[in-house]
Amino acid sequence: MNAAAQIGRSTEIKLPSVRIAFLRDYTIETFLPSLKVECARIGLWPETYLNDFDVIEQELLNPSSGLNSFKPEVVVLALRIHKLARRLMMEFGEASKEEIETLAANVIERTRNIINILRQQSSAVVLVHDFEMPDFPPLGFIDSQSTNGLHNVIRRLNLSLVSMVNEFTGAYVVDVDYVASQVGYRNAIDHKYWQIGKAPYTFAFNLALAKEYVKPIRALKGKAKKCLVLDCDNTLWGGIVGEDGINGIKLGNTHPGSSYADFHLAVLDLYHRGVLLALCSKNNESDALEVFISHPDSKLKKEHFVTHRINWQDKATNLREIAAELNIGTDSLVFMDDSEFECNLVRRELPEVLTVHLTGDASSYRSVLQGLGVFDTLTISDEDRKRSSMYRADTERKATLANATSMEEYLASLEMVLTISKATDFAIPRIAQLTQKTNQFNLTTRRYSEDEIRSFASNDCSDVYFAELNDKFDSSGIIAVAIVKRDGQEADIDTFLMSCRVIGRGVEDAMVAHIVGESKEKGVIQIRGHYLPTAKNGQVADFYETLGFFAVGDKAPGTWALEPAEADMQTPSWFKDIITGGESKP
Amino acid sequence: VSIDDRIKTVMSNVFGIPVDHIDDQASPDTLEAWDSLNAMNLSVSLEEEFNVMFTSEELSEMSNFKLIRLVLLEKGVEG
Repeated sequence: MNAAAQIGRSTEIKLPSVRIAFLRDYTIETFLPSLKVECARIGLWPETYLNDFDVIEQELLNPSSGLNSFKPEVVVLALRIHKLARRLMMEFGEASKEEIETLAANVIERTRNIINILRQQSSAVVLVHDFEMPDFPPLGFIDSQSTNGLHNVIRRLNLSLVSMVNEFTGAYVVDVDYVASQVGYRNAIDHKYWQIGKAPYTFAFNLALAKEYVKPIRALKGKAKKCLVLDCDNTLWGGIVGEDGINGIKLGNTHPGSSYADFHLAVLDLYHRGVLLALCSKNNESDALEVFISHPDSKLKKEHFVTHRINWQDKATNLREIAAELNIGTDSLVFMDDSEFECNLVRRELPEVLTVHLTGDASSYRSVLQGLGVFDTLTISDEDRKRSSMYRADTERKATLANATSMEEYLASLEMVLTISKATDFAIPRIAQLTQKTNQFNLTTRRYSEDEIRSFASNDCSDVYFAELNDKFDSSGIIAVAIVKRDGQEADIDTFLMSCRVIGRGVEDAMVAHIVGESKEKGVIQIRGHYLPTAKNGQVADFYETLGFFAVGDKAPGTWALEPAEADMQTPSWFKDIITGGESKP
Repeated sequence: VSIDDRIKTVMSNVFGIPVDHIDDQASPDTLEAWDSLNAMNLSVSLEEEFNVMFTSEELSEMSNFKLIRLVLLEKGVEG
């Protein structure tokens, strides 16, 4: 509580805010200090709104209510069984089987109705608390013997809640029951403050819950980590491969090698979630790589790593190079190493990297990694699952570059096919994700939810374009997004962003040429582009100027304009084909 | 640091007012910020500061500065 008060005094004005509204039926005020502390850790300050008790539907339905004028980015539905179905929690022994089912169904129906109203009114991300099991079941030992015991009823209720929440886009479950079980049910519930002030949860629980909240908030605000960089010796195996040899290192099915093998599997789980993996280690390159190529118990293979720096230069330099090669910021890196020296060096040189010092007991490595909670995304798309292979194809492209005599010749040799389409239902989740995650090649850095993208796409006065790129090495998936809003004969490019993986290939020129061409057909006389500077997007400051837009003097700085009728936009010649999609609205 | 100063520092943090605005007569009647929610925040913060646990009966007795001081002394906190 003191920490929150101190952060409040020192940084409230400086940190960017995240607007969170709570619809609750208990005293959640005691949770807010923990939330502030955890949000401040990721550089955000929560502005919060709390409803008065017992007026949730009224707040939702009244357009001028406090909730609706607050304009939240996140709405939390924090309701407890104790209020939604008190008889279930407090008079369970008396209730018949049929009544229990009705009570549970009513809980789902009420929450569905609330989310439904929310969805129609706002495109805020909705977080829905599930329900924690009671610390002591009313039927004692017998409770566990029946599928209709209270614990099992609540487990089923939580499953139904997940299915119901999945009916909505942009709505997610916060697994309060899991958080309570992490802390321990008896340490999670505070009966004293529940009786005194309807504040049911302990400080320990609230802190754990705040850490859970930060996961979706981090993803929503584009602050998720993207790449895990690992040391080798005594991190991915026990011992030193250069001295012990590939047959002497500890890695395998039995202790102590099993700790490292299990750690490999946790790293692989991240790989399958779309996290990039890289190696940064002081070894002879061939010694270390040999483990991933030919050690039978190495679950991590060479192809799982998108890049590596196995050499004798300092690790801060190596990490900078890895970030530059992958076109991501160093603040998107997590670095794990068993050496305190290396960790301290990186912490000093690159404080923005999340550096994790593995302190020697390899049996803890797996849970240390899994407990970080910094890689979360709101959805896992097919592109996430394929991401590492896309980056690896990049490396092969660079090899081709070495053989080409001119850049244009090289680009032509890639046989690139660019497809520019209007947003489809299929593409909307990835488009929203790109607006949330892209920091560098992003002209305005506006973060949008899936529902906001959907509403731009279906609106007659706005268009959402996206581009996909295929070449002879790989399919890059969706790599660029533009949102254009029209007002009569004027148009504004509200959003223009591109994945850094495809910089320098002319995608942006082709895309702007297409947008300008379509605007001309629609009778637009002036189209405007905007640049909103951030700490990350300096590289696109001259974007519109380079494309022949002229600065608009009477507008705010960073506004550029073009008259489509006069424009002579060149589409790059090196694409094998550019396919432009139809006009359909989703 | 005396028990009085420690209690007042906690109050100052919870209520968001300077320590010298809190005197021995402090109570919900003299301090606007001492509402029912902050009463709860205050007891949590006092439990943290003095490493004690209040019973719910004690909490209902702790309705002003002097009574808080008394309850803490009864719980064995050094004056």
